[in-house]
Amino acid sequence: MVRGNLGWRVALFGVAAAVVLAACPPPKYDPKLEVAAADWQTQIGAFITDTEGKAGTPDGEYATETNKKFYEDMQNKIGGQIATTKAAGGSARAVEIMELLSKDVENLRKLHEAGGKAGLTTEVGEPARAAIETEIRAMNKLQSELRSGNDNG
Amino acid sequence: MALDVQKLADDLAGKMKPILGQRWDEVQQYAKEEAAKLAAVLAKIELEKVRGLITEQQANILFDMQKNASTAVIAAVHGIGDMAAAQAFNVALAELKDPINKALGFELL
Repeated sequence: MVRGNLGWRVALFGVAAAVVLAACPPPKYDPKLEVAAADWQTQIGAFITDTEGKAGTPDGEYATETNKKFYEDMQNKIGGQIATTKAAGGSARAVEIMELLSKDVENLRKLHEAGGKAGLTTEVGEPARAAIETEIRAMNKLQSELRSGNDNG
Repeated sequence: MALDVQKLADDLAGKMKPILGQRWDEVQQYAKEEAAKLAAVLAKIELEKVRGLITEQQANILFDMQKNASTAVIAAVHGIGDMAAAQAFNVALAELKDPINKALGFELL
């Protein structure tokens, strides 16, 4: 009898799990994410260009308040978008790519800091820019897949 | 000792193939492209390090950035998770660690 009850419970649990999974909507295309990614690309690109131009001058050093604030602001923007996407049940893959982008904004900050008085030289700034732009292109590609309904998760 | 970019790209892609398993057919185009980019970045790092334009710390960060970028591309374009893509790169690089570090003249990996 006990075994019979257990069997029913397992079966009911299976049905309930199937209903819950079937009710989970597929990841949604989020036009705001595309706008955000375009803004990040513009802002990061402009910052790298500007900072490379100031390399070797006091304004180009990481230690200035303006430069430090840029990295803080970018991390806040990306972190905010990650939280928004998660809360809205958006694409887990979009979240993963934004987390990689966040890591690389931190890496850019480290490169800038490691440059000391030289700041962010073109030798480090350009490959860093290429990596970040690749991530944003990956995000755009994913958004285009989501828009056409081809995303797998 | 200069890195052979083409050979390194082929070796990296070859090491990734068994890790990606059944997904290889659908991701191979991107895996090969990203392996080629990683190899090119390694060669550029080698050159700039030799010229004294970047430090070992900067070389490590730049390489990490390229790995992240390649992971994002493979994760985005063909429906494999970030972790699987990252694992494929990390295992392939770990297996080629010794020849890469030897060619660079410092421990990048």
